[in-house]
Amino acid sequence: MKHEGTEERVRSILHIDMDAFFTSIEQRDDPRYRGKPVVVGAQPGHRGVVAAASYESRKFGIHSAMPINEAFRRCPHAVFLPPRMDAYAEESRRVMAILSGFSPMLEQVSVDEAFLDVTGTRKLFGDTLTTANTIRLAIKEQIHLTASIGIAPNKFLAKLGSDMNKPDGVTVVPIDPADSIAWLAPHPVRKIWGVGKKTEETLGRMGIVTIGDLQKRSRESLVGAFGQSGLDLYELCRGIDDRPVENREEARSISREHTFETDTRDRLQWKKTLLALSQDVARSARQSGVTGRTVVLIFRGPDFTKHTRRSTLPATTALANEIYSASVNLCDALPSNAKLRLVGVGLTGFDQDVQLDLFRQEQPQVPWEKSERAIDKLVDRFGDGVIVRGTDLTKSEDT
Amino acid sequence: MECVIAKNKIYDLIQKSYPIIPLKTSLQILSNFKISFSKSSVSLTATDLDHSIVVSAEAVSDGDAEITVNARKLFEIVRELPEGDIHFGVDVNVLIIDSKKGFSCKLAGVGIEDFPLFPEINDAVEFSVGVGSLKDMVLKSSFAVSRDESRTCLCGVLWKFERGRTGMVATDGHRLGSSFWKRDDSLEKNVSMIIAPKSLLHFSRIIDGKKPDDLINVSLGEKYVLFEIQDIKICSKLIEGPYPDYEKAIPKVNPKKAILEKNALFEAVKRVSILSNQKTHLVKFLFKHNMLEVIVLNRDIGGEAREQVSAEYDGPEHAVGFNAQYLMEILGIISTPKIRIEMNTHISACLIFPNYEKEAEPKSEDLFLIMPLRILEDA
Repeated sequence: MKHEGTEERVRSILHIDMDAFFTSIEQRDDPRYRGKPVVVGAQPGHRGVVAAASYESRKFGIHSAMPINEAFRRCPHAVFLPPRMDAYAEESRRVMAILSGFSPMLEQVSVDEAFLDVTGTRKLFGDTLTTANTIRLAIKEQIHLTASIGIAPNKFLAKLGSDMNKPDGVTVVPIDPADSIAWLAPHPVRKIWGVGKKTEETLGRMGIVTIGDLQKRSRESLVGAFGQSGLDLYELCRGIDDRPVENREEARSISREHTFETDTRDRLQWKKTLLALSQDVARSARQSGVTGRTVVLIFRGPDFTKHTRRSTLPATTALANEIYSASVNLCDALPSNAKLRLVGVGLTGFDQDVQLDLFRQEQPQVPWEKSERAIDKLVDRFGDGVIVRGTDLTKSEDT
Repeated sequence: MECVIAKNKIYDLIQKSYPIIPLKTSLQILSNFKISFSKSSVSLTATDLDHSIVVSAEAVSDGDAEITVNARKLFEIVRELPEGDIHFGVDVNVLIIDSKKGFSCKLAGVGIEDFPLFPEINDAVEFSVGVGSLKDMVLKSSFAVSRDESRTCLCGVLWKFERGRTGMVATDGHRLGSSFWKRDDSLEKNVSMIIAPKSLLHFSRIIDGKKPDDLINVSLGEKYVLFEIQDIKICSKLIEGPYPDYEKAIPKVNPKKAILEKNALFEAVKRVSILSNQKTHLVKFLFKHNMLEVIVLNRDIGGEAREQVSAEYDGPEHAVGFNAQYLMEILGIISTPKIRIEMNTHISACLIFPNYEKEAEPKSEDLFLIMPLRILEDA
């Protein structure tokens, strides 16, 4: 088992965004299109929209999602091409293959953008800026396309950064929190993750237009106006974002959390809570027909900051027993004076609908699996609490 | 030297040998054909070092000559020439092509010294096999060859010669195809080899014009196997074994048996699988009394599709998941109107056979196998 923490260090996150991906591929593959406005999407005269616009065509105000006939009106002499999704997907695969050579912590966001966590690769590839330039060069040399890269301590800032210096540029977002707050201030609130048209309007009515405006509001007032997502706004506008870079398979997870009535050092209480939460998570995984390889321990100290610790199992599971024991191991590794306000457990790294192999025969069902499935059935019939594991009944003891 | 040959004859030779030319190679000479002219014939050789081919045709020459030239250029030039005789000449490292209808060209070539020699097979074990049976065995096995290069053996087709029969098997662990034909000549001991699908499939394709009963001579050496029929010779490097013991992995006890109309099942799976997960192509088979329900529930796109197909089945209700593409591929190969499926549990291999009428005498013994996709909710 390997244990990893996600806090207590400054991360180096890259957001790699391919420049005008679809049209750049068309311009690369056919020299006649180079230097000309190129639009990939529906054919003019038909319904449909622009899927991608080359930089040349953007000068005419053409942008993606614009109705194709509007694009044609603005620039009738542009080259209008139908999308070749297979070709783009293939190039995307090649780009991702290059990226994955720099760090295993790669999260592909879409066909033309990805996050890469290069915190631990300094020794291999040099400092983060050097790494980013090496990546750009590799993409340029091997695929003959350009990419823009944002460098920051987290995903939110990195994504913002990659947009600053397009095309073919690198932007380093200041690492020091005070500097990054100042760096963020002039940007419109729309740039914040999760702020769509509607939130933008609501914020506008509150007189909040730039991220700087948002930074002046108190946590309470934002929570009052937006509930839980107000908390996210409060953190994001300060450039605080602790979401990990996750492989896409891991993007989904099942988790359960519990907030204690008072902050507690009582490890037995933590464990009892974890057992109940593990049973919930396992049951939910079995209901969705998935098994997960990674168990995540979630906890919040008295200072409200959320931390995670993860542990990778040798095989995927949907069993409470295995999830519980992995989370307890993670718990045991916490400092002895730790005081928790919240504890939670998650299951991720899902493996769904496994293709079986003729030469790798299945393991027979472990006894626990049978008993846990039996518990599922009883709970389905008679409701929660009808059957309780022995350890669940142990009385809490102060330690 | 001058050689006269009809365009369609030389073009046929080029088409038969060109697919062996490697697309990318660091060894420039492998992009070339070796052309050998003799008094009464012309032959073309192509190789990628693992696979080599020689094809020849009758032609009239006034002498012998050999040269290698870029295969792609020769292919394109000959393709564009009008029907009729083409005149070839060889000068020092130059191939001269003249249509005698106005077109002529000189194609710079390279001497044959650097062109790899066609592999020689010593101490060969020799067999012969009919064109019809070879094509059938290749069809029924090669589709299942693995593309995972970490399992080298599975990247080839296993060809076995046993007492009274010969057959080909391929599997990537997820599905398996095999076909065995009866055979007369007696062997002292069982013989087997693992062949890359490139040469087998190509050979099978270019012998299309031959009669099913025409015989192919097979010479099996230590490192290479050679196939010869009339004017075609293909030599293929063997993949080193041993091939995994697939027979042991095939379950012997399969109490749940169903007989289904092949086309009805194929159509149902094709329709229902449109909504299946794009990665796993999962379809669920639910066998009930005299009926099979093909089901897709796709949580990702929120889709659901079902189709009922009538089946001869009287076992207990049984649910099992499959990759629809694997299944359709097998159904597409089986030639009988009905198929027989034999199963045990939802995680054990599922066997698929062509289902013959009682009095029918099948030419070959075929077995297909597909491993289920484990659906956790049905465990």
